Amino acid sequence: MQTNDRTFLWRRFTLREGIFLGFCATFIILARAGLRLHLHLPGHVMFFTMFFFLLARGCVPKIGSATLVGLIVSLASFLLGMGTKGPAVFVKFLLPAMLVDMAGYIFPAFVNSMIACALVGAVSAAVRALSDTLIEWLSGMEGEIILQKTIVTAGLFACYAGLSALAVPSIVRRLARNGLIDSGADEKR
Amino acid sequence: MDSDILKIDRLSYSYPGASIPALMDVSCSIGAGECICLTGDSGCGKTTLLSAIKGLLRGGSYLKTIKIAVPPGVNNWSTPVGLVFQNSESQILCTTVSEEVAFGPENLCAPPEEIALRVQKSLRAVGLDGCETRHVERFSAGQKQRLTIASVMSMNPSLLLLDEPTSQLDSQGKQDLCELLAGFKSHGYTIIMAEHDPRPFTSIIDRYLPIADGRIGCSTSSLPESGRYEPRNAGKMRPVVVDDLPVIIDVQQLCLSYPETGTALNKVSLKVRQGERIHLSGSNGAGKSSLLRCLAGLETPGSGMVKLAGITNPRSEHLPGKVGVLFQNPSRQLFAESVHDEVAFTLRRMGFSRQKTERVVAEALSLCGISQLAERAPLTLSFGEQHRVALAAIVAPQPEVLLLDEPFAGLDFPQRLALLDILAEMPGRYGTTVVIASHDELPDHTWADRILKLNGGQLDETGR
Amino acid sequence: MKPAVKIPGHKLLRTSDYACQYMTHDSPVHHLGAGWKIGICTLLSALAVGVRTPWELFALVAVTLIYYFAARLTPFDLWRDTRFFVFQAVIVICLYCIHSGLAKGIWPGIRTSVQVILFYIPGAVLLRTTRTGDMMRGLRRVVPYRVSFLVFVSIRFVPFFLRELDEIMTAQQLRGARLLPRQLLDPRNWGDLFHCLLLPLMVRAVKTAEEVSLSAEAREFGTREQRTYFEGVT
Repeated sequence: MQTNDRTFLWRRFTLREGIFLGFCATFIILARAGLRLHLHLPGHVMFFTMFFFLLARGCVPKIGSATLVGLIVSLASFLLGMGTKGPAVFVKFLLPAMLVDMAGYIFPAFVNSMIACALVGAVSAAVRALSDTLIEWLSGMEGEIILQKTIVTAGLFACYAGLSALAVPSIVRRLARNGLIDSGADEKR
Repeated sequence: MDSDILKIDRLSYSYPGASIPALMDVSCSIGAGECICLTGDSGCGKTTLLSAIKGLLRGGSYLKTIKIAVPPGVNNWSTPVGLVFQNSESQILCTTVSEEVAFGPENLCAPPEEIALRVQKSLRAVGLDGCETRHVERFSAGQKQRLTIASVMSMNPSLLLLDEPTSQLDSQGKQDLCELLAGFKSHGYTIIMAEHDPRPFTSIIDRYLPIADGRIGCSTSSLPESGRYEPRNAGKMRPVVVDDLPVIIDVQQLCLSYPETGTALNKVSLKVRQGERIHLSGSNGAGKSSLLRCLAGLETPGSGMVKLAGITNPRSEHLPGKVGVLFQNPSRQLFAESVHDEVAFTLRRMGFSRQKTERVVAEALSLCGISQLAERAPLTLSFGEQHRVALAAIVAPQPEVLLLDEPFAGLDFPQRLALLDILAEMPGRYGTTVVIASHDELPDHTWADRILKLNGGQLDETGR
Repeated sequence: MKPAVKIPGHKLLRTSDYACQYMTHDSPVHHLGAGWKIGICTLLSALAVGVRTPWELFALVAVTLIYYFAARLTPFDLWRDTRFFVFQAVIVICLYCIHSGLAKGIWPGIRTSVQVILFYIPGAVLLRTTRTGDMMRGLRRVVPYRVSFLVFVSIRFVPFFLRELDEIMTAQQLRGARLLPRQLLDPRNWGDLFHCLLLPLMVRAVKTAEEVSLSAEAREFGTREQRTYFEGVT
């Protein structure tokens, strides 16, 4: 008789996968708290945030894995009082996470390529800069000003995220080689 | 026989992708109220059998008949089998004590009034009543162990399974746990524990079921192969280190305290000569790890002086190659793609040439008995093999001082003896001074030149 | 930033002082229910994006500050909660001035920057005055229990992984990995950050996830569609 893992969430993730993705959220929280205590550079938090989003996708190659990390990290940040932006923290994390999942849907094996990872990381992080744009637009800020400010912030985010994303394929490869994650899973959507 | 609470008939199980079954034709019956101990070396199948009884095995191939008799009066909000895992740290899921104990009954949809009663009863049973609102992070290892038992007992199991319950406990903790389980037994609970060293529980164990290579042996009422647990007392004696060798570790009036826990080390003074073998003993929280951390330059002492391998008050970044430290869980330090690369890492950082690196790596692998694993990925190995890889990586640079923090955790008796044999080679081969910090007694009484006992942050020399 | 605390004979302690963290005070805002605070937060934030004239803006600033200080929070807390937006405000005002000239650009720049800050302050008050436990209880009511469980577990394991991180870092530094903050300023050492620190951390995460999931399953988590909640001991 063959036994199978029970799915736990969204008919997609097992409990073990869900908890692992929760731990990716823990690492983002730790990185945010740690960096905030030591540095006050704008945007550098994206270095680790995107790294763990991409790694989550690499380790649990199913659509929704990065989004689940984004959801957990937003809720946890909110509960821990780390959301400087109040409820907007959800957009801040969910938006880039959903883009990572979308990239995984279009090109499932992108986490194995350094260039693809850097590209997805940079674009997703840049899009995160849009989270402020809606508020600014509603506040009546001029479109051109919003655009210029968004470009500056997005550029910073993309640089940090792109750099950290370069390391993701080698870590995924080593985890797979050590049998800790499913190496054949990159074909799944 | 109807007084049996558990009946297993020809159970076999293979993990996904494994060529050899983890359990083979296992058959046994356990009577209500019995206390059974599954014994055997690491990897023999003890944990797999407990998981099978609890119904937790996933993704493998199964041939099974496990029948669990549910006693009369057990309601829908109870579970027939409760399983306490080895590592209490990772099985505590909630932040406060009451939340943790209530977690199981909540999942069983017990009404809140019923849960309140169970929380109270379970905490009283393990001696943690009054701690309901405490934060679990502030508990000691022994208290965490009790909490994990309470969180299972709150689900009213008839059958309590414990996997290596003593692995994190010192001798006092083991004694306390034994008394706790004796209390459960007297209340009619059936207990099955998997333990590679069942000596602390001999007074409460009714039967021993030995397991080897996934097969279960004949049950006995006395400890099987009791001689194997006896520490070695003869055969490997060596002359005590001569006094004229240089002092390699010199600690004077060392004090260290932490804001959360207070004094960890109180005026500790110590001199260790080159090539000495030291056993630093003491219960959990006595200050052993703190002393090792001070020696390795990881803590800045409040006052006093540490001189190690000629460096006064060393800092960790100055020590790679000179001082090797082996921490408890080897998987924390393994990251390379092969065992060879893992062992070569420090040597490359020290600027060894390729030829010298190859030679030294081969020597370290051979010393640790893992030459055949050189090309394997380190994290695919068993716990015992990973332990050896981590040790090989530490001993490869032939350090002047080797510090080991609780190195026996998770190892069975033969593995512990093998580890001591490897460490015994170090002083003779490289003049390395070896310091083992462990709350367990050494499985070889002749190994240590000196035994130093830490108690409440103060050091006593107890001789050999 | 609050300075590190030095206790004689002890290690240097650094207090956690990030913005929007809960502050224990006995204030009228603290006594308000979380639902009321969410309502006030929504109303004030909506007004913040709607105001256009200087008088409206002035009135809203006054109301928001009264709300903030009614929670017995200090101007220093306010600075910590809003400093990120002050950085953004500088960019916005500069861009307005470059775009429209100093005379024409300064007012719209200030107005929109203040509006953005006002949008976030009520949320900060909510976080500053509501305990994590109360938030968690609230979260359980609105989020499916399987998701809220993952959130709680990720929070529960923050100190666990902090210790793991420390132990991995210690072990690897003693093996020669270059992980000191000053060494990590050199990008050539970033390989060590990823391979010697983050890879073992991920390995621990995979193994711990396995152990945690087994522990939860052994206590029948997820076997039933619903569960009850025990709120007795607080």
